[in-house]
Formats: sequence, C-alpha cells, structure tokens
Amino acid sequence: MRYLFNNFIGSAYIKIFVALLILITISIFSLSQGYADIHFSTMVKILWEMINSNDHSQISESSKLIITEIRLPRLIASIIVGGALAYSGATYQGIFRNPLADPFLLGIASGASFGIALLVISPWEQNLYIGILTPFVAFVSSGITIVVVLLLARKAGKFDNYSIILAGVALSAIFSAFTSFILLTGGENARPIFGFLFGGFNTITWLKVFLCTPYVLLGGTVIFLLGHRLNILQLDDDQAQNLGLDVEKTRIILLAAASLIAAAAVSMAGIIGFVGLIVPHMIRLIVGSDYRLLLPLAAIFGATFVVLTDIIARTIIEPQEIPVGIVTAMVGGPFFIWLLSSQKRISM
Amino acid sequence: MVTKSQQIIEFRNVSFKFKDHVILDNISTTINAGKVTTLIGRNGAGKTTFLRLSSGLLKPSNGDVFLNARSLSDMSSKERALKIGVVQQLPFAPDEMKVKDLVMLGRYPHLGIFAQESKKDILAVEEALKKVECLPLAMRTIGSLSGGEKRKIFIARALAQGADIFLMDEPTANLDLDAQLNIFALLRKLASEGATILVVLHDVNQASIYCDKVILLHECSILAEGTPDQVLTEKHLSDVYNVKTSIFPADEKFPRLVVPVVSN
Amino acid sequence: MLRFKTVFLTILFSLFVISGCSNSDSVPTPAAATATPAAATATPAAATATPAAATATPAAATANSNLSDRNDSFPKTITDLTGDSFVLDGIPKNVVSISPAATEILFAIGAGDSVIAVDSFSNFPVETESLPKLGFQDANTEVIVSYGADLVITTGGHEELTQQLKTLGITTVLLDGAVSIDGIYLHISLLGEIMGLENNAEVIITNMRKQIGAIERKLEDVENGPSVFYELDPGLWSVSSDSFVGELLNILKLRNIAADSASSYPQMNLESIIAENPDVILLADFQYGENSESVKARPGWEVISAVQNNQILEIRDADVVSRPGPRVGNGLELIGKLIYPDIFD
Repeated sequence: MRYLFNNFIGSAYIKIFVALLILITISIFSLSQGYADIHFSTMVKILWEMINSNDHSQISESSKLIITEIRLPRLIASIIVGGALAYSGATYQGIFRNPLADPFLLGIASGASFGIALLVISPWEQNLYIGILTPFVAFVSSGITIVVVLLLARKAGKFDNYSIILAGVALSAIFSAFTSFILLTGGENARPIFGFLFGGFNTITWLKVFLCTPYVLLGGTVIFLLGHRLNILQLDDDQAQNLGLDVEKTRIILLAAASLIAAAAVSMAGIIGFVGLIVPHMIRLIVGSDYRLLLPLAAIFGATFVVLTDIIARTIIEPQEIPVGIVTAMVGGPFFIWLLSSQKRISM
Repeated sequence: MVTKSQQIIEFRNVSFKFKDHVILDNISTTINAGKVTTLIGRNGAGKTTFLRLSSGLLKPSNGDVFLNARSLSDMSSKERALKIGVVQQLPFAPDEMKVKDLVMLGRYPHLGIFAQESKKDILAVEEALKKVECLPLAMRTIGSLSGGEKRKIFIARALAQGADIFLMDEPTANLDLDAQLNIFALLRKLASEGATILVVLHDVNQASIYCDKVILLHECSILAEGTPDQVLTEKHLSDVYNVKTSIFPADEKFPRLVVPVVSN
Repeated sequence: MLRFKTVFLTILFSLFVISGCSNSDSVPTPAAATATPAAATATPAAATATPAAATATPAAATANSNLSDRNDSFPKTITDLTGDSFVLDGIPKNVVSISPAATEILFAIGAGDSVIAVDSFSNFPVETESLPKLGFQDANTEVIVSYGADLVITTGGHEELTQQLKTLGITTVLLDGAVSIDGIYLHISLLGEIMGLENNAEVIITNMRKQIGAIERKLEDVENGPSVFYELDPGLWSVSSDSFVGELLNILKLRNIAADSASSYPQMNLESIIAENPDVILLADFQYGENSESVKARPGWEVISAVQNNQILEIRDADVVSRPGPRVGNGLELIGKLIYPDIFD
C-alpha cells in the first residue's frame, strides 16, 4: 500500500521551482524600478552586455552605471540578506521550538548596533560609505555576542534552550542599553548610527556584497546539510537523543551557522527586522512544518520579500528613501495582527 | 522483525550519582532477549534512571552498561538508535504532526545525508503501523488520537527504528483496561519474536501476569530479581512498600494475584 | 524586543533630527570668531548708528550696560513665542541654557555673565569652556534646580523637561529650532527683552541684517545658482527647504535637489542623486571621514558632474551652518565662499 505517502521528492522540487520562478520574476521587475527612467529593453541590453562584456556606445554611461553599480548590487544584496535572515529565522525557530524566535533572539542585533555605535563616535575616520570598517565591525560585534552567549550558557551547566535564551536576552538588553546611552549623549555625532539601526541598501556596493556573501554561503551550506535534523528536534531532547540525534552538538552547530548568516546579513545592510520572524511563519501556513521543505522555501521567500520591500523603500516617496527596516516593520505588523485573528494556529 | 542475534543488555557494577546523591549503587543485572523484563520499585527508587542508563542517554558514574558485550558509551547515538527503541511515559509530539510522519522520524538513523525517505523506509513505517494495528490511523494527526492509540504509535516508531530492544516507561499508565490489555498483548508478541523488552511498571499484578522477569529496585540497589513468584513475595513487598499482602498463587482459572491487606 | 525598539527609535530619531542640527561638534574657524566680539561689546547707546561691516573687528566699546538702567523696566510681563506669558520680577541672574544657539545669543547680547551653566554642545563663545555642562537630551531637572537657576532656556526636544521646570516654578522659555532667519531675530529679541538688554539685541539684529543683506546683494546678479546635494551623513541623509540649513541654501540661491522632500531631513535615494546630477556636493559629514577623495571613490558617483568637476566641498564648521544663532551670517559666508569663490572674495 503506497497510498499513504506522497513522494517527498516529487512535490517538494516543484514547490521550490515555483518559488524560484517568482523570485526571478520579481528580481527582474526590481531592476526596472527606480528614480531614473530606464526603459525595460535598455535594462535588458545593459545586463546582456555586462554578461558578455560588450560595450555598445549607444547606451548612456549613467544608465549603465545605475543598473550595474546601483540597482544590481542592491538587488543581489536584497536577495542574500532576505534569504539569510529567513533561513536563519526558520532555523532559530526550529532549534528553540519557539514561534517567536528570530535571528536577533540572542543579541546579534544589539551587539552589532553597539559595535557600530562605538565606531561612529570614535575619533577615527570611518569612511562609513565605501569603507569596509562598518561591515567588519558589525560582523565582529555580532560574533562576539554569540560567543559570549554560548559561553554564559555553558557556564550555567547545559546547552539547553532555557540557558541559551536567558543569556541571549540578558546580553541583548545590556548592549541595547549601552547603544541607547551613546545615542542619547552623542548628539549630532551619533546620527549615522540610526542609519544602521533602521537598515537599508542605499549605500550598498559590490565590495560589501563580496565581503559578506561568503559567510552567508558557509553558514547556509551547513544549514542545508543539517537542517532536516530540526524535524527531530521538534520533539523533546530525550526523544531526539534516543532517535539517534546528537542533540547538543546539532544545536550548537545549527545555532552557530544560523548566527553566522544573520551576522553577515546585518553587516551588509544593518538591522532589518521581521523578515526572520515572519517569513518562516508564512511558509509554515502554506507547506507545514517539515524543515526539509520549510528551510529552502523560507530562504527563497525571504529573498523575495526583501526585494519587494526594497522596491517600496526606494520608490514610494521618490526621491526620498525609506529605510528598509521600517518598511518590513510596516508590512510585518499587520501580518502579525492577521495571524492572531486567523484560525490556523501555528505549531512547530 | 525477526531477530537474528539476541540483544542482551548487561549492567556491570553500575552506579549513578547526581550531585552527590546516589541514585543507583553497584547494580549488576541482565536483560535478556525473548523475555519481558519489568522494573518495579517505589517512586524515586531509580527506575527511570535505570531506564535511561539502559538506552545510553545517561552515562554511569561507575561501572558500565553493555549491549552484547559492547559498551553503550562506545556506540554513537545513531548506532544505539538502530538497536534500542525508547517509549517514554509522556513524550511530546506536536498536535498537528501526522502519525505517519512521527513514525517516519524513527527511520532517522537509516536515512542518508538529506534525510530523503526511500521506498524501504516507507515500507518499514507501514509494517510498524500494521504490527501495532494502527495502519488506518496513518493520516490522522497526533492530537486527534486517544491515549492508547498514541502509546501504540510511539511503539510503532520504535519498531520502525528497526530496534530489537524496547525500553518503556509505564506503557499502560492512564490507559483504559482494553488498551492496557492491548499493549501487553503486543509486548508478549514482540517478546515471542525474540525482542528484548524492559518495562517499568507500577502495578505488581501486571508484573506478575505479563512479565517473565522482575527486577525489584529498592534503596538504590536490586533487592531481588527473578520470576514474579520469586520476587513478588509477601516479604519483599512488605520490605519495599510497608504493606501486608496476600498472594493467591496461579491455578488453571486465574493468574497469580497480589492483594494488599487493608487493616481497619 | 528589537522590533519594538524600531518604533521607539523612529520617534527618537525624528526628535533628534529636529533638534539635531544645532548640535554639531566642531572647531570654530577664525572667520567666525571675528564677527561676534564686535556685536558682544556694543554699547546700549550705540543703537543703529554704526555702519560697520559684518566682519568688523572688535569695536571699542564698554562691556555691559548699567545694571541699574536695565532694572528700570522690571517687573515686566513677557510673552514667549508660543503665546504664553509670564511675569519676570527682575533680571534673571542665574541663567541655564540647554540650547547652543541660545547660549550664543545670550553671550552676543551681553548677558554672558548671567549664564551659569550650559548644555554639552554649547561650545561658543570661548567663555563657555569653563562653564559646567549639563548634558543635552539627558539634562536633568534636579541638576538644573540644584544650580539655583532662575531662568532656563530650552529648545526643541525638551518639551517634557520644560514642563517639569515650569511646574517647579522655574521660568523656562522653549526656543523652538528656528527654521528661518526671521525666526532667529525673534529669538534674539525675546532674549533681549527677558534679560533687559533690548538695545543690545537690536544692535545684534541690525548687524546681522546688514551682514546678510550684504550677502544677498553680492548674489543679486546670480540668476540660478548651481544645483547642490547637501550631504548630512554618509547614509545619504540631506536637508529639505523645511529645515534651517535648507533655508540657508535657499538664500544662497542654490538649487537643493532634496528641497521638496516630504520630511525635513530625508534620506536621499542614491539613484535619484545620480539622476539629478548636482553641480556641487556639500559635505557636512567630514567628521566621519568623508571627503573629496572618498566621494570620488564611491561606485557609480563618477558620472555626477560635481564629482567630474571636482566640486565636492567640505563644510568644516558645521556648527556655524546649522545653528540658528547670531553667527548665521558667518555660516552663509562660509558656504558662499565655497560655492562662489569669485563673488565672496
């Protein structure tokens, strides 16, 4: 009797394929949107030339530059950041068996913000736009935060969810407090910190993309290989261990990988909230809680979500720009309300 | 699920301490294949700890636990999972999870790197559900099951693991009478096929009726072990439970019965 | 957790940018220093007579006017800029200023002796160096009270603090960040009236009018000034015409590409900056390491005419440009010299 089981392989690949198709479509649409009026066909020609390393003198230098040095890196960054945050968020939710977990649960956002705050008010010249100091500091601060959190949890005795979350919340609060203090007393000097806190792709460069993407790929690969273990982790620790899963090791490795890609995302584009929290839930409503499917779909939809919100962020009040973190919050808030009122209860 | 080799769990001088509290002290015993062995004792006597030592979840403070002369601590989680199936008393499972998916989780130690189920795995799950007579429940959600059905599903998962050893913590607690009988019938069937079964029980009569061997835990060590006749005597029961009992030996009509004497 | 902080920070941020512009941390240039001493040492009797140029060296003059003369007009009823009135019994002697612009005005009109404490961003004139600094956004009611203040000047963002002080019976005047030069004149008049130094205030205002008038005359023949991108912050935040700096850019006949933005301190989308192709880029964020070289190195910026023509100009004294106080004329001259070097010398 084979009627019991739909073949996992078949339907999953179709769903992933469809999701990718949507992402690609919206990405191409994104390249055509912007303040500068660039005709769709022109945009396609520019991309074609870029791939083939041609050089038609017919297209204006400024149009080419806008597509290849502004819109394209912006698009790639949105995809990577959105995908990373959603991937990380889904993993966090799986590890902690908590629907409210998100990549910033353990203080990555607060730690990075604090690091950036220190950098901004420091007397050194920071070259915040083109320099690599900002991504570097954000990344290192996030890393330090996670390591401290894990060490604190270890000191408490066990690597169970309770200890880790407690340590994360504590550190998060401390760093947030320090950052607020710097904002309060820094005055004008502290202004650039806000840019980081609200997140955005306005000053993204290919350099930043190349610097941060390897970490996303590294962490992403680890999650790709081990993510299915999250299915078993949905049961309690004892069951998981008895079923053959090395619970502590799995938890730490997945946590480290998820934190790595979240830290990379934050270092590229600042704090963008709601993606890591909401996109996994959206996917869960559609395909359920099998992490083998949930994870890749969350990543693809996370990318799509951020590409969409970035289009809104940069076109809705042209020529002004709204930080992306604000747009995701504006979209995320109502979704939360809808979630509350909908009949479907989210389970892990 | 025919065992080719007998899986025997052996405790050799096992002690277990938790923060200076001695829970088990110098325990040596064997749990054999083809038998239903039960662990009896007061609450807090160390039964659950014993069970967790048997599955390798806990490591002994002293001594060692062996599976066919191989130390459990030398085996990886996966290796143990291929041989030992544990059914906890109150295991957590998400209400929305489907029965077939829960049982399929038991196949984890068999799956490859991407945890893709093969036809073999699907067959194993079907077989397991058939064995516990729950195949019709396959597409139901866990939340919609009765207590007895849930218990059987978790046993099915242990079966799907391909395990020959079953460790169960009070498998009949909170079940209706018919469900209880159902479970024991299943256990006896598995034992007759060569499985190694260890159950923790509270009810001394269930122990008497359904189990081949009784291990009586008292004050951190084994007070007695052997057949129910040998172990569940008035003296032992009085030592352990401070209760006077009357024992009615088995005859053609009735099984052995232990009845506590109520004094006015 | 952090998501609620996002909302909170949005509000905090808005407050900051409203009040933020007046609180830069930078070194006053010699050009700025020359003008103010002339105003500060003016005598009350001088009135409108002196046709001194804006950058006049310190004229010989007496320090402060007679205290007794000043006291004649008290007690008096003062109506502040929100329409509220209060009664002053005598000249305030213990003035606390939590507004860098107000600090400058107070010293300019000759009331510097009465100032006993300032905020941490009040850095001009040089006398402020020795004064206790009471923070800014974090200024504490108790501390102010413990200084025995009989007059407190606050600015935008201090609404709650102002209320608290008023409730404690301390005369507090909130000078909202002026968005126009006329607004500054009103502030100066008001402070003059409060400190019994109306005449000095008039002199300051007159001198300022002259200075700015001279600047406007110099620009008479300019039909259309260059288009400009005013960069406040490396994240590409700028100013609209609804802001103080935006007003200055207007006076200088500069076409601010962010002029019509929805908010006073908008973040400009990079693409729009490139599309608008400004002739000049004014950098107000050099303290973060942004300068001509770093802007040229930004990918995609090479097509902007400001970059191609080397018109990336650093504003070295951001205070003078963003503080709605008596040195605004100097601020105008500073930017004017950068943009129109032929006209301004």
